[in-house]
Amino acid sequence: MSFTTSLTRNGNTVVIALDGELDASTAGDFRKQVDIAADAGVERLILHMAKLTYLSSAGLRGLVFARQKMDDGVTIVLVQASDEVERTIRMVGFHHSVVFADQVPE
Amino acid sequence: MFQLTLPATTGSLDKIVTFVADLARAGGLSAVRAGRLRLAVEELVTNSIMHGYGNSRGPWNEIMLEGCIEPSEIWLRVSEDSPPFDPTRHHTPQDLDKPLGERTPGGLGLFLAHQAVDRMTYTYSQGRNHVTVYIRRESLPAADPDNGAVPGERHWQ
Repeated sequence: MSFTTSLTRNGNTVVIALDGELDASTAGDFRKQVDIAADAGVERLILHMAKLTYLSSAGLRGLVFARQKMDDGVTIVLVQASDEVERTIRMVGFHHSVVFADQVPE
Repeated sequence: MFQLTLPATTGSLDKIVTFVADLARAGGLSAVRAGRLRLAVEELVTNSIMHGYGNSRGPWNEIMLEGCIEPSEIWLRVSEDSPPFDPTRHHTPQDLDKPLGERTPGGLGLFLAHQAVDRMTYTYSQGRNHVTVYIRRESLPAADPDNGAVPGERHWQ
């Protein structure tokens, strides 16, 4: 199972691009990136999910971690999540705490 | 019949995922439904390893997977000998309406598993938990007029 992330900072925004499968074996890598993003002190965390092919409960716990790690004022935007990934996130009620978007917001 | 027995450790998950993918492919599941079958099995197995066996887990414990492609659905059974636990009765978290900032970690895996498949059943017999998940085979290919069999079934005969 493969999973890679890349993190870029642009002004007040950090973008973490997720590529592959976010599950129990890879969630630790995601959390490390979230730690970096939290330390950056930005206003917005964008999780680019165009290449995220699988999300398990361990991945969902990673999203909980991200929400709790980032300051309350930080908006978390999920970009280009697949229908199935979005379905999973909505099923567990996380959509109240994040924003879905088709493109990286300006 | 597909069958696989592996040590009850997280190191077995890759092989389990491959096993489920092979079964889904042989049964002609769409990518979405194959992903849901994988999610259900991965969550069930992970729960058994982490919570069923808990601190006593090790390679001496074994998890057995059995799968079968029926005309209208695929079933897959996870069997293991950790203490009795019925996941069909423990799958709805109480805090789904809470914002993420107030969530407690965990409790989502069995819920996802339950939601991912069409049915889930549980029995405890001969000292083992048996959890079976069922998922419909959608968009079945037309029956072969020569022998009446569904083409996808040939792979496992």
